[in-house]
Amino acid sequence: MKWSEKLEFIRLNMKQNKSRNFMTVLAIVISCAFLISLASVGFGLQETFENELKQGQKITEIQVTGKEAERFDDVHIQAKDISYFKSLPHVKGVSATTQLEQSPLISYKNYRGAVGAILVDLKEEKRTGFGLSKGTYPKNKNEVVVGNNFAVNLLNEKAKGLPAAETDSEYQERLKKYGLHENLLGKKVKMTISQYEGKERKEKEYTFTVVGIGKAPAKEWEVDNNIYISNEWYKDIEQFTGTANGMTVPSAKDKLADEMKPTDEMSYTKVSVYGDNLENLPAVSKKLKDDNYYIYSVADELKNIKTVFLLLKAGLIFVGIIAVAIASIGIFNTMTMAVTERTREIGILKALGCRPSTVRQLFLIETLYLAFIGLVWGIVFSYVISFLLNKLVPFVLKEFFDIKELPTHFVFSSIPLSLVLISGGLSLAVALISGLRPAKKATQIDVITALK
Amino acid sequence: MINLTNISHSYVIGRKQNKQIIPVLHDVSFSVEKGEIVSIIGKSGSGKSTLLHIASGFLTPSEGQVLVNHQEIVSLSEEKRADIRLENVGFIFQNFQLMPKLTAKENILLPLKLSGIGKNEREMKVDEWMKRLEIDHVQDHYPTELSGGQQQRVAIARAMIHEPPLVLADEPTGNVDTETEASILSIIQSINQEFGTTFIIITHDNEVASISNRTLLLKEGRIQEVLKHEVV
Repeated sequence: MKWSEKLEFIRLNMKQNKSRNFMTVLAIVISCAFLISLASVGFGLQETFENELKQGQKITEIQVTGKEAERFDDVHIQAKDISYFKSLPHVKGVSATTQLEQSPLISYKNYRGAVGAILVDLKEEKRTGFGLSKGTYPKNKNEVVVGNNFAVNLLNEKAKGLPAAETDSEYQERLKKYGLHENLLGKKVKMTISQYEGKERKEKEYTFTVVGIGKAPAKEWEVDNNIYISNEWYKDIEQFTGTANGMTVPSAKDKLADEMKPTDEMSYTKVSVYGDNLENLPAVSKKLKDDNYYIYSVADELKNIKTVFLLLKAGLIFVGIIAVAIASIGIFNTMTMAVTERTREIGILKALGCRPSTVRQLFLIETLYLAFIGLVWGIVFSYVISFLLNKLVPFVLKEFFDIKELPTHFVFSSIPLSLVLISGGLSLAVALISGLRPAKKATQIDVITALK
Repeated sequence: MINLTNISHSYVIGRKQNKQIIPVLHDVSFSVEKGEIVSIIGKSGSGKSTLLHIASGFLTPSEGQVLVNHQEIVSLSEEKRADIRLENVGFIFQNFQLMPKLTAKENILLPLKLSGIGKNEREMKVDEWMKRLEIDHVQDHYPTELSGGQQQRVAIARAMIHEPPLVLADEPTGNVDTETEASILSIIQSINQEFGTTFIIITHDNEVASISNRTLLLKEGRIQEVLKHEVV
């Protein structure tokens, strides 16, 4: 018997008891929609957490915070460590930056401002994903890149003497009014660093040309008002300040503490190793851990979150499956009744030469057909429910639970294809199991008894 | 065409202590050659239907061997027996056994659909058999909309559409009037002559026996051949 004829035969049989079949399909629709919608909350919340974690961070980044060492000085990451990281397999690049431990004064025309200064190898940073919104990367040590919010933080001289802003909105208003709103690309800016020498405060001025503007930070609330200068200046700054990382002596009275004295090595304040892809990241992480480096990676964090959410999702799917199992009792009843009602027809078919296996197939296909129709509608309804949940839940949380602000990428319910496939597969499997017994009963029908 | 050797069969009725074994057939042997019409007569309860069910493979005998078209069927699985039935045997039943949800044409098409024959060939054959049996004007009628005679013609068309070499008929004229009976017997005869189809007809109707080449009498579970003039 061809498949088309089997399906035609099944459709003909299903037409015989429309209301019973409709109720069976309805039960499957409700149970599948319940299963998918319930599990979608697990998927949605995971998405929210992962988005929050990934925001502004590069997923293939492994932050190296130090290394296990007996001497305190050896805890810091040094140039030889950076070279070692670069030599490791599956490492795309290494970002190593040093935050100058004083806020140098930047001046441009009659605008001034104290900003953060970061010593960096921008060629390497380019490789690890340091992006520019405008301009190019520096070609020599006199060229610099500035952060996206750098210019606006330089205030006009007119703002001098104003009391400190008390609120954020007041501060923003001040930046709007007195901040520099000029494209600094190609412009020369002066950077002044200072240090106490005895009672006297000495200063040193550097002039840089701005050749690039950094990309805006991923998080809305983050600002980047740093100046990124070549780490070739490190020795020069250290010589001037006489301290490591350009630290300033707090006041004229204070003396230079031992830990402030410069070392021969450049010490990095932030070191990140970037893997070539996510799959190879665990291997790189393991290698660094084995080499006694202290590391933190978003991917590791995500792995932990994934494990927790996997358990949550499995639990939700299990609860949903109970609903499907209850609906499958309906399928079992429907199919058992169908077999009883069609005993004579089954007898005729078998008498004419229909194989028992074909009879079994006919009933199993009918079971799956009912389940499939229910499943398709169940999936459609799940998407509708998911859409409504994502619209209503944030509203309800804000209105009735006094939650003022939800995460930027808040997703309460999400239905990825994998959930549809898992739920579909499980629902069809449960339906198939419930149809096995009636189908077996159909094959066991005795022709002689059926035709009496 | 069909060969039954030393067939014995008993039914077990009741349970445990009340269990009773009722013997129905005792060492029955006969064979029917290709192209023969053989009628099996006997009183009610003589084992006629049991014999037909064993010959068709619906029932496994307690003892004995059944060869259908040179293939032994007793030891075969249900699946294999179904295949042999589909290929070699057509059935005509007393109460027609038509599918109530299918039209006359759809009922006739069943064996071809089970065999997986293509649509074009199916249509050609069904038209041919409906015309031959003069039921083409009722092809879209459901069994309940047909007379007894029409239903039996539909059943004959269904039995013959895949042109099996053997047709087993269980009281084919049991539910029709004398006039229809004559036409059905005439159809059986013409099919037998044209296609060389072997017929085994279970009956207690002498008219049916009269078209047979041979008549076998089942009496108390044993078979014996009877001569034509003895039938009457």
